[in-house]
Formats: sequence, structure tokens, C-alpha cells
Amino acid sequence: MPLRIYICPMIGAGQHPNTTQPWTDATGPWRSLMVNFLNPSLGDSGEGIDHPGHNIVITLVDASASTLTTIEADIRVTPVIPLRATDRTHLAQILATPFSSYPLAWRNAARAKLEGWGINTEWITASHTMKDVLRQVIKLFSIAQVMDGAGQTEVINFIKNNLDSTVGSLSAAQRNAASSWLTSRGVDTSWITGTTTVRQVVHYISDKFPVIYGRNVGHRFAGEDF
Amino acid sequence: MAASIYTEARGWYVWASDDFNRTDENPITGWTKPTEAAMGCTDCKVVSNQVEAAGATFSIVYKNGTFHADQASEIVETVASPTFAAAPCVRLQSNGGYIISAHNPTAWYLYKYTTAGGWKDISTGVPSATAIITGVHGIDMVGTTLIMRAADYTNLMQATDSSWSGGSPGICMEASGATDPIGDDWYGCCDEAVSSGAIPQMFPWGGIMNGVMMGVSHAN
Repeated sequence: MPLRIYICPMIGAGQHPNTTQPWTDATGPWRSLMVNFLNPSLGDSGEGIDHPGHNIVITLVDASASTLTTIEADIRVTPVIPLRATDRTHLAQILATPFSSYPLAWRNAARAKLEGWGINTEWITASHTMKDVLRQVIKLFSIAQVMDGAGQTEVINFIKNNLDSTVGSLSAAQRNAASSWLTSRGVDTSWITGTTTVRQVVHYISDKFPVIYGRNVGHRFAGEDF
Repeated sequence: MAASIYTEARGWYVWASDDFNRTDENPITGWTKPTEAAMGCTDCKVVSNQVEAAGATFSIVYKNGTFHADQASEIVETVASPTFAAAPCVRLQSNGGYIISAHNPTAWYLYKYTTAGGWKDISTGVPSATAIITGVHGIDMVGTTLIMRAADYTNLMQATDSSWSGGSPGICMEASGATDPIGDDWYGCCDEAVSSGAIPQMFPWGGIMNGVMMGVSHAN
């Protein structure tokens, strides 16, 4: 079956799973919008990781062409690879292809979408592959989850700011929480000043994922190592 | 059968276990209930040498002890419920962790709970399980990958998550007050205190070793 990677919203409200069903998009536990589309009994499957700050999820969908068509018809869903892969081998080829090789209009749209979700794309050069781009996405989502598990709401709020905001313009609560938590995880923050941008901080901490997560592990996602 | 709650080195693995063979208890001893009120957890209890929910909602407990972050948890469901399941959990702690839950005879969910985010289903699509059937239900988590398995060790669902990196393996017994599931013979891996911090290389009932799926019985 064809495969494609998407970013879509989480639906629900974080309610207890015992909340009376049927859940609407606005009720029940948080869950991926993809739950509305995928039918495992027909062979559809997905693998996702969510960003608890923005309540979005990046998902590899392995499903029938008709399911993908239904997914892509929902305006809440954004494809993050430019085409459907015919199989896992083709997916690996797409991920290994330089981001710059895809049409400029698609790249600009993808960059705008990612930046709107607080994902820095300014670092991308002609030599970076699609996998390089998605690696930053997955790392950022993972770090946001670590923050979530640690109850660091203000640190999550810090990375949700506009990427071009300067640290000095943010609330003291966000600045202090971010500094304190990152330092406690062994991340050097001494280089950050009032004129440092959120973009610089977000990119820096994405690169520090093994330090923040506490283990030198890479992500296995979409059948690929990131 | 003699009661046993212990850890033992089994080859490379160190397992904590509980066969629940002891005098009835409510709440269960040797286990801890998450305390965060919003999780809505009640305790589990021991009845007739087996474990079941002590309340009419999520009854979630995690094994006392210090465990490695890479964990496996499995429980045998001895009495099936038309609604819920005896389900294993990993990385449980006072304010969150990962649990398996079932809401009707064919649909399983993989949830996480965090204080900031509340309850979240992190499986992508509701997996089609054979049914909530008696037998072994297992979950393992290595690094950021969670895999839930059915009694025949088939991979029911998989998720990637980074929210929790510590905690303990546990169990989730859901109840509605009607025909509720009953569990027995729980095993959890791995006890860091006994294994001296060694990272488990694979999980006996079917886990991951260097990304390769393993499919051997825990009897091996």
C-alpha cells in the first residue's frame, strides 16, 4: 500500500478515557486526527509522534490509496513529503532525496507550515535531505514530550513562541523556567542572551536531544533511523 | 502453590513478578497507585489468588522497586470481560506513564498521561485486535518505541513517545461493575537494582533487539 508522512492536529480534550463515548473531535482523550481515517481492519496503519505544545502529530500513514485520498481532502492535514511513496523502498528514496530537489513552491509552503508550528527551517541548505529536515521535526517533538512529562508547561510555552521572538521579549516565567530546566538537564545556556532568538534556542536544544532525553538513542520512525 | 513476589535473574533478564497467590488484599500490597488525582486511578485488589480492579474505573498500580527505563510488562487475563481488559503498563509513576486500555471487545488503545497534557491516545488508528481474550497481554518499551502485543505475540500497535523515561512496569485493570476482567501471573522487566543497571538486550516474550523483532516465548 502507498505511504505518506503527514502532520495533523490532535483532537479531543485530554479527558479520561472513561469519558462516555462516542467522542467528538472536541471531547475524549487527546488523539491523532488520523484515528478518524485509518481502518486497521482493512490493513491501514500509522506511526506517529505528537508535539504536546502545539497539539499536532507527525504520522507515517501506510494505507490504501482511497484512505490517503480521504486524508488529503481534510484541510487540517498537511503532507510533509511531496508525494506518496509506493512502498518502503520508495519512501527511503524520498527521504534520502535533497529537500532542495523538490519544487520551490512546495518547499516554500512546507517551510511556512513548519515555521508556523515553531519548527526552524532556516538552517536547511541544498545538501540537506528530506530525512535531515524530518529529523529536526522529530527531535523537537520528542523534546517537547520530555518537557511535558516533566510538567514543564512554561518551557513548552517558551518553544511555542514565534521563532523570531527574542528571549528578552518573553515573560520572565518562561525565560526562568527554560533556563532552569535546560540547565538541570545538562544543557549549557550561558550563551543565551536577551537578543538570542527563540529560533536559535529551539535549534540548539533539538541538537541536544540525547542530552535532554538522558540517553544516547536515536528515533526509529517510519521504518527509518532518525 | 506457594505465593511469590520476587525478582530473579533469568538468563540475561531480571524479572519482577507477582502470582497474587496470597490472602485476599484490598488494596494490593507491593504495588503503588499513581497519586495524581486527574489520572482518576483506583487501586487493585487480590481476590482468590488473582488480581482485579478495586474500583469502577481505571485501577492502575505499578510494582514497587527501581526499574530500568527499558521495560516489559505482561499479565495473563484469566477471565475476559466483554468491555475491558487486564492490561499491562510501563514507565508508570505517581503522575503518569503508559497504559493499554480496551473499550470494547475489539478495540485497544495505547494511552499516556502527563500532568500538562492529560490523557492522550498515542496509537495511530484504533487497532483491530482479535478480541479481548484470555491469555498473555504484553507491552514493551525500548527507548522511545512502545509495542503492544496480543496473546499470540502479534504486534497489535506501536507508538513513538518520549514523555516518560523512568518509572515502573505495572497493570491496568478496568472495571464497569459488570463482568470485569481478572488477571494473574504478572511479570515485569527489568529490575535495575538486581541487574546492576545492565541494559536488557531483548525481552523474552517478543521484544526488540537492535531493532529486530524477537518472537520467542517467555518460557524460553
